Amino acid sequence: MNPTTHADAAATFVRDAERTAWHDQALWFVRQRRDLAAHAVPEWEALRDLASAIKRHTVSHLADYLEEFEQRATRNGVVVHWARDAAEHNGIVLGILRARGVRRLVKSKSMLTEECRLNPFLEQHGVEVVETDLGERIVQLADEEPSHIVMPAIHRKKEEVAALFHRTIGARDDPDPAYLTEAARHHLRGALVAADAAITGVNFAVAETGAMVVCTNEGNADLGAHLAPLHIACMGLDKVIPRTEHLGVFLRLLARSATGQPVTAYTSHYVAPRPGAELHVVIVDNGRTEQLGRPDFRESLHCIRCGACLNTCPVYRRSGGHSYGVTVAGPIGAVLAPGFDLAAHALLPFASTLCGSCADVCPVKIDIPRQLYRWRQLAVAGGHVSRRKRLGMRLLGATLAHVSRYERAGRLVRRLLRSAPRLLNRPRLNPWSRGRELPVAPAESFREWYRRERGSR
Amino acid sequence: MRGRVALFVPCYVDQFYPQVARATLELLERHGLTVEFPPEQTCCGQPMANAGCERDALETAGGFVRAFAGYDYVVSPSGSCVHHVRHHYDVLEQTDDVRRVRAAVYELCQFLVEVLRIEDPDVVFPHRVGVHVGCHAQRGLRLATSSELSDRPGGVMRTLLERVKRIELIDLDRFDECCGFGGTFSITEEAVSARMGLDRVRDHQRHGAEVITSGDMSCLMHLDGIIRRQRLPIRVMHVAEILNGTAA
Amino acid sequence: MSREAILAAVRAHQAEAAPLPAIPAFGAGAHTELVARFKTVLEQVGGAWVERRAGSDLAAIIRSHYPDTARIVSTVDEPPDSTFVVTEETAPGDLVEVHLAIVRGRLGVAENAAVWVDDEHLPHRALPFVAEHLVLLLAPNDLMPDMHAAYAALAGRPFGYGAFISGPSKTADIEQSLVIGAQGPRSLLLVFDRGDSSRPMHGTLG
Repeated sequence: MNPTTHADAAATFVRDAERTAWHDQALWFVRQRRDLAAHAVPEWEALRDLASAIKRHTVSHLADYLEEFEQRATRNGVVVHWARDAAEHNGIVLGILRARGVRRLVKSKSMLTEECRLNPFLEQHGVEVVETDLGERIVQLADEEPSHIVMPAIHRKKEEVAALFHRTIGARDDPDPAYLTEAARHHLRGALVAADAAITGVNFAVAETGAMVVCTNEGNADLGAHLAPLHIACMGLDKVIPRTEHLGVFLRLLARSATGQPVTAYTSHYVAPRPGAELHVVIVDNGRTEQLGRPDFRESLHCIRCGACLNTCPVYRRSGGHSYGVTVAGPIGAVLAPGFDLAAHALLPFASTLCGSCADVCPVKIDIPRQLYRWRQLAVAGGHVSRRKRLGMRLLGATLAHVSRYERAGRLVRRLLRSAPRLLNRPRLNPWSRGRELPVAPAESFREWYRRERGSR
Repeated sequence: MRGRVALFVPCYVDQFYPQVARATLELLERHGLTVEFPPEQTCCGQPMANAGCERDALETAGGFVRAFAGYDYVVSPSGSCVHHVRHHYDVLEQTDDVRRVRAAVYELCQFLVEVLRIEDPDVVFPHRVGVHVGCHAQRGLRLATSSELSDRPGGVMRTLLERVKRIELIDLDRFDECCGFGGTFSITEEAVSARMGLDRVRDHQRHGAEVITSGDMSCLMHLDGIIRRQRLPIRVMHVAEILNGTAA
Repeated sequence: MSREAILAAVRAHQAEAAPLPAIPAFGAGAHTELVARFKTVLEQVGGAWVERRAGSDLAAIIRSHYPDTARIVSTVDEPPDSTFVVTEETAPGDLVEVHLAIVRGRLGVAENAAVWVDDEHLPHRALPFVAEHLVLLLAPNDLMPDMHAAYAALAGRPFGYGAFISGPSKTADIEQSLVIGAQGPRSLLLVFDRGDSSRPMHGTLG
């Protein structure tokens, strides 16, 4: 079990009431922009249905599409690598870099490389890594993990970024976002010009053409990939889609769902290396084929990483991405993480009210609440929840299964609530009462009243 | 409408909110129905199942099916329990009884609007009211449009409330934000749960609600606990109470 | 080998074959609406536009919008001429000296103000990203209603690199405050190039 559970980390987060309100509102603002963008597209729901069906098809023919992609990409002059897990991925990347004597590497945002912990690995082996996405650079300089898959530094206030930039890149201590962005631009241009290699993620890999599509706003991915003599694209094997025409469907959904933009500023299609340069792609499994083998959770591989389920999740908004303790936080993260390691992440599926908002914003219509519900059953069956909870639920089940026991227990609880409310109102005994009063118990239950009043009927 | 109608009273409503169950019963009777309360009923099993202990809920769920097997309609003042029976009873062997009961359960407002076709609830409630649709009714049963799909609130409960005389339904900043109850979530994630509840109450307060109403007493139990702890000048009422003419 | 192991695992775990749906034709809208819609969305994403009257001078438009520009790289066959030479061999340190790039877009998308640019007409792929300011030329006849139509129009077009560019570079990574001009161009000017509007989209470009 996690040393710090989501509940503990969330309780710490919520203790700062003002910051919680700020974080909640920042994400709700993004959610509202998503609503405006989505509601402005008349065929939005039809697109979601299409996207879901395309993904379902793709995942059911995944091996063929991966091979087709590999074949086309190779023909285009791209070098294709395969990695079973994070360690193999990191080893492949280091091997490519070493063979070319790379010392300075620039990266644009890639959640896969976060998942594989690539940066610390490369730095251990003497490669200097500079994240070039502004949000990623902020968390890198702050020595933190991204707290959100699309907006990595959403948990940081501008004053904190100003202090950080002042300390680390010699900017003046000025919280104006325009100034801070400008300071980062100057700082990062230097790294981009000096880089020996660039790493990017991949949003979509098209089997039909071998194209790798990367969606960004800042221009950093293209600057990195086009200026350096070596470009390595790293992708999970779930990123492949069948044909170019499917890009139309996914791209119409992705940015609108993610940030409310009609499309990202740049939708880059990398097909062949530019003359004199090298282009590699590393296709990574790292637990994805296992998830593919779980019919209840297979659908989670449809995810296009838009982050909409994080933005809408009332629990994520009030607990922050770091409280999940995994690379992909929020509702989709709570479905993915137990697939990697159920014992370590068994409590994440419980970090949800199952309100269902995530399923309704999801552009590929993943039924996240249903999967959270299923993981909860497996977490309990696998013995990954506390004994106390386990016994409590068994007792509750045994009580509710028989009407006589149920009635006796109900009377007892009501009597306790009426005669000794303080006893039950102790937070240590009953966490409910930390922030809430218990119900005022009536003398008579409904069924007692019914028997008394209507018993003769 | 023809057929036998049973009332399902969720366990916590039976024990803590008998007035809500009475209002539901009287409301259905006021609309000309003969309603039975099968005495063997206890609970739908959701408290255990949502906590991951579906196996501990099997006997309770089996009891639910036995208690309600003979009825054409099983009406309940809870969208959440109805959702559980409709969507999570897959774990039971799908006998004829199980299938029938799953098809027969109705959330109260849906039953009033779609089965009884009530157009005029014929009650007066001269207050400013905020509507809280429980998430399982909203997105699970699709009894109200969710904000992800449409920018306007709607649904069966609102349809009924809009026709209550002299009622004023207030607008909220977030018309369908979750209240944070979530069953055992309210205990295991107590801090976030309470914070969500407080945010939900404040949204209603900001817009001048005197009463928060819902089709789910579980959401309201949680919100009421916060309201009383913070001593806020607002109160909760189940929609059955308003529709049955209970004074605020 | 990992490749075989992965593909075997995928094959072993794949679900029963699900069908691939056809993408229906969504409503397109009249051409005049497309132009208006493109302009509105372009403004929303931080870009600017200007309509070039037939026979008018591109150099004059550039002068009026970018009066102090010295280092221009133009990839179109008319003045203003490039004042700075960029080739495939230009070093990164020199590329970042480009102040203004003038590039012809092959097509535009009304729903999101994206303009397709690819390496057929780029002396260096980095050009539209390193330039401080980007001017895109586009013929109104090359406007498509949506991304479906855009990809259909691009079908069969060979390119090693291509991008949809929608407005100038931007970020909202700090407190969700939108800042125009992140790491790529600080501004984007779209010149509707009526003089060239008769040029067909297909056939001559591939």
